Amino acid sequence: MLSPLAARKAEKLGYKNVKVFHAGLPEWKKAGHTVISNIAAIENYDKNNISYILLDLRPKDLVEKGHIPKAVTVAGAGLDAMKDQFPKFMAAAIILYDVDGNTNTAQEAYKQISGWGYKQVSILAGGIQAWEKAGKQIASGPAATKIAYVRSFAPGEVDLVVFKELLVNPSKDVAIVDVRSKSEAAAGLLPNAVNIPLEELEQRLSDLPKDKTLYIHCSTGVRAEMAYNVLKKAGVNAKYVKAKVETEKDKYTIED
Amino acid sequence: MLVRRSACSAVAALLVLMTGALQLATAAEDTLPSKSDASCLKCHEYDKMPGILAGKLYDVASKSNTLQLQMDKDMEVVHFDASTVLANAPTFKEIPKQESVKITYIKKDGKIFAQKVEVKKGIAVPKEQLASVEEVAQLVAKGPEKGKYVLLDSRPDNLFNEGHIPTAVSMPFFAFDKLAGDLLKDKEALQIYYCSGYS
Repeated sequence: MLSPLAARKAEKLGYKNVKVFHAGLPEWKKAGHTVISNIAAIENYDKNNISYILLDLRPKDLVEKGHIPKAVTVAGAGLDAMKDQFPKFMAAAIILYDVDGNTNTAQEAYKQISGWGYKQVSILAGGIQAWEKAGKQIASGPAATKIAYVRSFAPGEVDLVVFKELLVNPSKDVAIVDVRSKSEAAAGLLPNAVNIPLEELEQRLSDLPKDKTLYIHCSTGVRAEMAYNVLKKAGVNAKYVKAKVETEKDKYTIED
Repeated sequence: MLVRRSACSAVAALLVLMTGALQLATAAEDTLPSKSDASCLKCHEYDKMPGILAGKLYDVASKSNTLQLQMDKDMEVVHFDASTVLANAPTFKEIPKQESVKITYIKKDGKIFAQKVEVKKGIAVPKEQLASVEEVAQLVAKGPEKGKYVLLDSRPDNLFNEGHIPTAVSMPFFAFDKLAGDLLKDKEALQIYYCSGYS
C-alpha cells in the first residue's frame, strides 16, 4: 500500500519515469526469486531476542578459519540430510551466507529451503566479507553442525509444552481459562478449566480467579490472544497459548 | 502594593480561567476518545475526531464477534454484531490481516462496540504504471547501471533489512521527503517502487 503513495510523491517532485511493482515482495518470493537480508537484521534479532537460523554454506576449511557466531555449518552433512532439523514453524527467519553473497551455492540453498515451504529465507548481502568489513565478531574453529531453533514467543504467549504440563500437573498459582463460546465449551473442558466466553470477559472480570495467573486458551489461539489483551488492559495477570484445542467430554487434543 | 494587588487579581482571573478549563475537560470526557496507529496520523487527524479507532486489523474471531485492532504496539479488542456497518469488505473474516481499518465506536456494557468498520480502499495504480514481476526480474538481472533503474523499497527499514529484492534501495515511505534528495538523483532513470503488496 505504501509504494503507490511513494510513486505519487515522486511524480509531484517532477520525476516522469515512475512505476509501481504493486504485487511487491510476496509476488517476488512466489515467483521463486531470491531475497537479500542485511547485517542489521541479525543485529536486530540479537537485540530483541528473536530466534533465527544462520547457515554457513562455505566449505569446512573456510568455516574453521572464521565464521559468524551462532552460524551452523552445512559443510558436513549437507542440506538434504539436515532437513529434519528445521523447525515446524514455517515463518522462522532463515539467513544463508556464503563468501560474498553472490555464489550459486547460496542461490541453490535458497531455492531448496524455500521449496520446503519456509517463508522467511534470505541470503546475507555481501556474505561473510561484508560481515568482516563491518568489523563484526568472527568465531574460529569448528562451527555448530546442528540447527537448534527455539521459537521466540510473542508478549504473553506461553510455550505449549508448559501449558500441557500444567494440565497434567496443576499448579495452585495458575487457573486455566477457556474463552470459547458456551456451546463449544459444552462439548467438554480441559482439566480444571473455567469457561468465560471472550464476548463476556469485560463484564465478568470479577468472576476471574483471584491471586492466580490465568492461562487462557480457545480453539485456535486467536480469541485467547484477544482475551490476553483485554485482561492486560484490566490489570489482570494472564498468559495465553496459541494452539488448536479440541475437547470431547473429558478427552482433549492440543497441538501447534 | 498596587503591583501586588494586581498580581493577586491576575491569579484570581487565572483561577477562574482554570475552573473554566476544568469544566471543559469534564465535558470532553463524555465524548469517547480516539486512538490511532502513528502511521494513520500521517494522513488523517483522527486524534481530533472523537469516537474513532484507526489501526491495522490484527485478527477476527467470528465465533465471538470480536476483532483485534493493532495501534502501534497497543492492541484493542473491539466487539461487533449484525448491526455493525461494514464498508469495503464482504465479511469481517475476509478483511486481510494488517489491513488499515477505521472504526466508529461506542461504549456498550463496558465494551468497545463498533458501529461502523471501514476498510481502507486500495489505491489504484494506472495500468501503464504497473511493473510486473517479470519486468522487475529482468532489470534486477541486468543491475541498476545497465538496466538504468532505481528499485525503491517503501517499507520500514527493519523489514528491508530482514529481506528485500536484490539491488533495491531502502526508502521508507515516511522518510520519503528526507531521502528523496539523496536517492533520486538521476531524473531520467526509471524509478520502481514496491512494498509488501496490496495490503
